[in-house]
Amino acid sequence: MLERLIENWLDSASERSYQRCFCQMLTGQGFRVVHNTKHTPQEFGKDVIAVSPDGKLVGYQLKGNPGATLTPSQFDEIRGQLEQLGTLALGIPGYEGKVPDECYLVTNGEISELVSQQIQLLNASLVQRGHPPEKIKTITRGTLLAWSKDLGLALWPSEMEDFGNLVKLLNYQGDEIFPSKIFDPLLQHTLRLHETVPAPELRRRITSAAVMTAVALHSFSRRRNHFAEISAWTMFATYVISACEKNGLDFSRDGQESVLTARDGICELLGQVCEELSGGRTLVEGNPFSEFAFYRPRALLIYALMAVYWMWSEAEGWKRPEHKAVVEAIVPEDLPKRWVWGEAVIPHFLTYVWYRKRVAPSPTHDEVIGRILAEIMVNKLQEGVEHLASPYCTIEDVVRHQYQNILGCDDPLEGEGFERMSYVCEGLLACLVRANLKQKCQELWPNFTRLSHESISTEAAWRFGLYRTGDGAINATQIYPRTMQWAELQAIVNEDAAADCPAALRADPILFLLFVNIFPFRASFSAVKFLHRSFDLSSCSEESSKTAA
Amino acid sequence: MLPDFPETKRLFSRFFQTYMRRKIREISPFGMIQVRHYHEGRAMKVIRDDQSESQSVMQHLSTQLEIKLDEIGDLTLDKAIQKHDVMILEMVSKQANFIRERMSSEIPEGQSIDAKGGKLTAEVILEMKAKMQVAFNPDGSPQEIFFDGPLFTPDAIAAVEQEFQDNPELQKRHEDLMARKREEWRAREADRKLVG
Repeated sequence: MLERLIENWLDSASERSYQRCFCQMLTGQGFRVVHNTKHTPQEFGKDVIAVSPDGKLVGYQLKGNPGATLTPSQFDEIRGQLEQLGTLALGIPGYEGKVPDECYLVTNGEISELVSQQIQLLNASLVQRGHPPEKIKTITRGTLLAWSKDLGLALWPSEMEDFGNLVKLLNYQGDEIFPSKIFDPLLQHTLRLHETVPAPELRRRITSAAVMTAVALHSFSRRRNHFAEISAWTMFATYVISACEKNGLDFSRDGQESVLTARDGICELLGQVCEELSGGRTLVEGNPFSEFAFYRPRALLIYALMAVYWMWSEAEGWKRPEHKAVVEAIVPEDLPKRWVWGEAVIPHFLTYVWYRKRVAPSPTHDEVIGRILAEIMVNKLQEGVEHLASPYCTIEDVVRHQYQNILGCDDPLEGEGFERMSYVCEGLLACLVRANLKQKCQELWPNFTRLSHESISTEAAWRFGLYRTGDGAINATQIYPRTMQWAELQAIVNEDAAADCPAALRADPILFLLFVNIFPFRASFSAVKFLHRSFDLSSCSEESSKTAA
Repeated sequence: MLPDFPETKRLFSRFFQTYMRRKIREISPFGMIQVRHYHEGRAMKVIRDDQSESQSVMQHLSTQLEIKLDEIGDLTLDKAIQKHDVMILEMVSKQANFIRERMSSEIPEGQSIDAKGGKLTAEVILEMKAKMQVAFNPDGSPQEIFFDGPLFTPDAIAAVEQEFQDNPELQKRHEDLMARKREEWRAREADRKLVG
């Protein structure tokens, strides 16, 4: 049955969606992917460049022919690209001037006899120009299927519950928010997070989990639901990090390549969101008459994603330089009115602020944080109002709660109260303290001390990278003393942050930022302090001057 | 299997679940307390403003809903609700006992009084309020105080109210006590400062 699922996936996957899985399977076979193009005019036919375990440079040209055979006329369209792949020197940093030792035409369909003959002719002409024989080879559906089974399926959990969850994911329409709750046990079981796993087995399991991620995303990829894909691949990355940390393994040896490949895919997906929004497309999606409930939350999410994309590309180089201006046009100078729909929106807001500080530095950004913190605390302390829901509540929970009478649905927040408690106020106050806005903090302090500050404290850092920590965590409620010294508060805010998070996640602040935007309940006080240090311009410059000193 | 009607039955299950949740809140002596859902973790820890800490683990409370096969033939919606009411009462009692046990074990000695097996009197109320930290609304009125326990029957509370009404000296002592509590509250509120 599972084999049939993989076949179905392969026989209907687009080139774009199977490329990510293909790279993961190469990684699983010991290859190091050094180039994974986004479909740009500059790619010159090199979709993927990898270094094989024996040090050969291998180029791959991918074609999506799901359930079909590559015909001579289709081959004609890519012949030039293949020839370039086999003959042109690379411009990839570290590999400049080198020509791939081997080249592959990869398709998830079949290749007709006539196309095989044309490849032989092309190889013959390459030999005449001094290239080795059989320079261009093929990888077709049969090989991809065999790899998927050997590297993926063989280690998938075989419990009926897991099978049911995978089928559930495949039965989604694909336009929904990615159901992390269903995907979480599949990843946990594939990576065997409930037991100790030796390094060689974990490496195989990581590739298996990657194949599963690609298959589980099938419905979402088909609908080009980029955010769902970003969510799933981010989960894959953090779960791999957690699995390495849990087993005490060397992440750089056992998990990093897979995470880097996933990371590449995520960056490409962010680029696709950006591409979709270029050309003046609005942020409206689906039935416009229900957008009164969802437009602003979606806008905040998109601004945050684009802010992540901008900061990521600024740090590591723009793969699509034209996207910089697009992002800057998408993310507005000011946020829309009434955007605070719950505490889950705060990571989006902070990401937006950190981006704005880079694009248009101004002291007003911290003042906005102060204003939002004040508003949240007033809301939490006021009686007889709708209190902002905790970051565990999604926008759909909040909307169903608000409109349950007209929607005729259950109230997901029935009986739950959010008065006088907050998961986000400590993090927001930390931003103000770091900005040295002492007077503002003094003004806000009385209300701050009237609140219970909630957090989850994990017993082992690896649990932080999961959708749910399981039993290995404690819910902590902190009530601050009524009177505190400013210096004492500064010390708390400046103490070592994110010690309760996996080391490899701390080493990758971009992934960390994306993770808390997808799982807002992970934007703990400790995580926000860490992210502030990594992304807030004032904190970054302070940090670099400390380093310089 | 015999023919079943799972879709519609699911709607009834949803109704019973909602009914139970609402009724539990309605009749529980602690029904007015804010409910907080913990989505992960196995325990709770509180770090208070004086840096004291308490930790408590989650406890699973459950009751059984019983129905005999020979009862099903004559079952009506009202009877089904009555079955649920029995279970609700048991659950409320378990929850209340659990909360009382936890409160008894967590409340420090200094905030406890001993009624010495006697009945509820105005003196007990005064002694109790004297030990409590009373909170006030911005307009100066005290925030509502909820009583729980075998001592606080409606008759006993009515008798104490009468005792206060009949005795001006007790009334005066109560007013003085609340004035003092209000000042203490004001001092506490004025103390909410970030200094230095």
